[in-house]
Amino acid sequence: MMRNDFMAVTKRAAAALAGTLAILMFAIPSHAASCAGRPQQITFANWAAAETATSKEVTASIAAFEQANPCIHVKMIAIPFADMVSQLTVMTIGNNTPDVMELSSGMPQALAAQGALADLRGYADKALISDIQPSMLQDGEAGGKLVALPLSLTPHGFWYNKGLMTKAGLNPAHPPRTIAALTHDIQVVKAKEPKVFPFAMMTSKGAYTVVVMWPWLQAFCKRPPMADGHLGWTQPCTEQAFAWFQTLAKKHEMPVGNNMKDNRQLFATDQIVFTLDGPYLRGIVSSINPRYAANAAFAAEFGATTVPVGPNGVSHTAIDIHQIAMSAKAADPKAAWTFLRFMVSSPADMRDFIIPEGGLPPLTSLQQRFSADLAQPYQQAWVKEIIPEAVPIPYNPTWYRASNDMVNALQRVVNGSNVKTTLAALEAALKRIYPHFRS
Amino acid sequence: MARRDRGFALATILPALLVLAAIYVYPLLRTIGYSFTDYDLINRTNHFVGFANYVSLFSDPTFYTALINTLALGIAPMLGAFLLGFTEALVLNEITAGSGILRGLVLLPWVVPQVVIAFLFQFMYNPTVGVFNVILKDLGIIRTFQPWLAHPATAPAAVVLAYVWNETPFFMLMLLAGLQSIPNEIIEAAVVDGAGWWQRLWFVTLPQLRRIIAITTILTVIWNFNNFTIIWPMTEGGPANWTLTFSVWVYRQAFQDFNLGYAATIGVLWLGLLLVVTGFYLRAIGGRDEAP
Repeated sequence: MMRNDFMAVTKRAAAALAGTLAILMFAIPSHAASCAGRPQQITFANWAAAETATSKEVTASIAAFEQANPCIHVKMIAIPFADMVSQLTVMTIGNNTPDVMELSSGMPQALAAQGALADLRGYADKALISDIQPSMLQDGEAGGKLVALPLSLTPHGFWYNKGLMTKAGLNPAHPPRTIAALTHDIQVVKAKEPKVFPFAMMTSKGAYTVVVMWPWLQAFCKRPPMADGHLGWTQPCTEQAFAWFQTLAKKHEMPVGNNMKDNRQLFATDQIVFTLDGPYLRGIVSSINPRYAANAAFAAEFGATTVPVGPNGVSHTAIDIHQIAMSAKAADPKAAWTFLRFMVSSPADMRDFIIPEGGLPPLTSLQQRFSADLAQPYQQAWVKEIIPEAVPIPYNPTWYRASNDMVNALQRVVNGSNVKTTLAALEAALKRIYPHFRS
Repeated sequence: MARRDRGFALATILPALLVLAAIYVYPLLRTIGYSFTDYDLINRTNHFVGFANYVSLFSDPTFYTALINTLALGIAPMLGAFLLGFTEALVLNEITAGSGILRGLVLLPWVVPQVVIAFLFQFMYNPTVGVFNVILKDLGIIRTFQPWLAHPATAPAAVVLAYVWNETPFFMLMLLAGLQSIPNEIIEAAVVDGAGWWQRLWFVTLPQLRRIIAITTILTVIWNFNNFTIIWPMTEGGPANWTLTFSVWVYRQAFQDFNLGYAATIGVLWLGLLLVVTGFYLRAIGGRDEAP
């Protein structure tokens, strides 16, 4: 090889190397480029990433976080909602609890009993705490500790189909506000529109069935079952509630055995008139039935308000919200808390994740800040009426174990079993799990 | 065998024995050990409690529900699948043209993964869009769509149907092989003696297939006792425990309730039940054919 040839090859090789380096520098994520050291990795277990409807949103939110915090890298662990408790329990036993976790429906209490969760009072400042509705905070308490903060406010409200109400001769401007009025309207709908289900409630297998049933138990009972160390399944108000469920099932006024997905499908296709569900039902309805994609079309057909008042005399809904918690053994608690705080209080997270997924911001100040994005009539119902009336379900560490028996009892009753004996059997079964609870 | 040869033989099988011990014996002993504890991951307890779990189990109404369901869902699908599979085998044994294609088609349900079968049937039984409801309503058999998997009267039968669909090809395959191994001379002798179709079936074919029938039916019962992949996606043991079997119950106790001591106790009793059935199986495969 001539010297000139050698120089030419060397120059080309140097140019190629420089080009490759330049490409690599642009290709490497920005946090790596701008973070002095190696980025600290934290793990975030959530179901949002496991669901196609929300995975894009949560990914966008995390990208925004990593951009704002270049020295922290978030590794997502996607777990389906139904498997969250079992997976997290197994991870906790294996001493491998994720640094940050999305939780809901009694999961904080189950995991806190295993010592898996950090007390967030040691991290959260007063300004943040005072910006959260006290009952929402209460839902994240376990054993005197604050183990979870609200991430997205999604309690169930009372949805109604205005078009079907009108067809049945009911006035959609006046949805039923009491159990008596609801029962009357259900009968009217059944008589006039026999092909639709006037009412729907989840009665399939799974712990979530109990969550869905709970607002109705609250409507019937001043002190719902399991509250204040009482089992309370054989008290007259619980029996009344179950007798009401049984009558609705017996008269085919509600579908039996449906899960939430089945009921949402029916609601979106104008086959259910009244049901309880979260504010995210709006997005689900339009994804099933594009006819209701536009806000105006949706508002014309569907409305939402508070749970009808029962013998209890007060309208309550059960707090069924998405929460976020931190591992008691997080490798870098500071980084984990920085991320958790971002998810709860950052406008970017509200914009990219919480509001698009159909929830409401957990902080009162953020609800005001995003008022323009929460201006739809159903959203206003949640902000002004439903969220203020939400009260926690009396979760405890063995709630998931007990919920199996509760669902069995509900399924027996809607399939025609005697209410009194079924509830007595439930009470006896739960006494084995909660020997210290009073009847 | 010489003493040295015996030593050599032992040395060569020892590694395999050790692997078997690690895989089978250790977990089994550990499970039996757990059944005498209150090992509970939620309440964080793990103490020796003697026979308390066994006493508690026998006083638990769910145990009897699970026992009856395990027996019912073990035997009923076997009977259905046997009858259908035997009928298919008899038909296919007579057909010559296109029998290869037909056998392939009939075998299809057996090669579909069980979890896929469960989801297929769950979708077919769907109370709002399921094809079962559509067909039955079009035929005028039902007036409104029914929640087949949510009603105590229909859920067990609906699950049995899925099992039957899956297991029929196994019976067909084994019994067809058995039918084709019966010597023609025996059949011809029966024909010469004036035996009709039913008489040939009852007095010649069935006795010849006795051993195959015993093995296949017992094997199917054992598989059904252990089945989880069909029943869990379809009903999770519901509604109200009407399809709760030992496999579902152990899973719930161990991996949902994390009540490992109690789950181990159920597992040990379930193992006892399986050992009884396996005893029948061993007798069946060890039995001698009777002379024709």
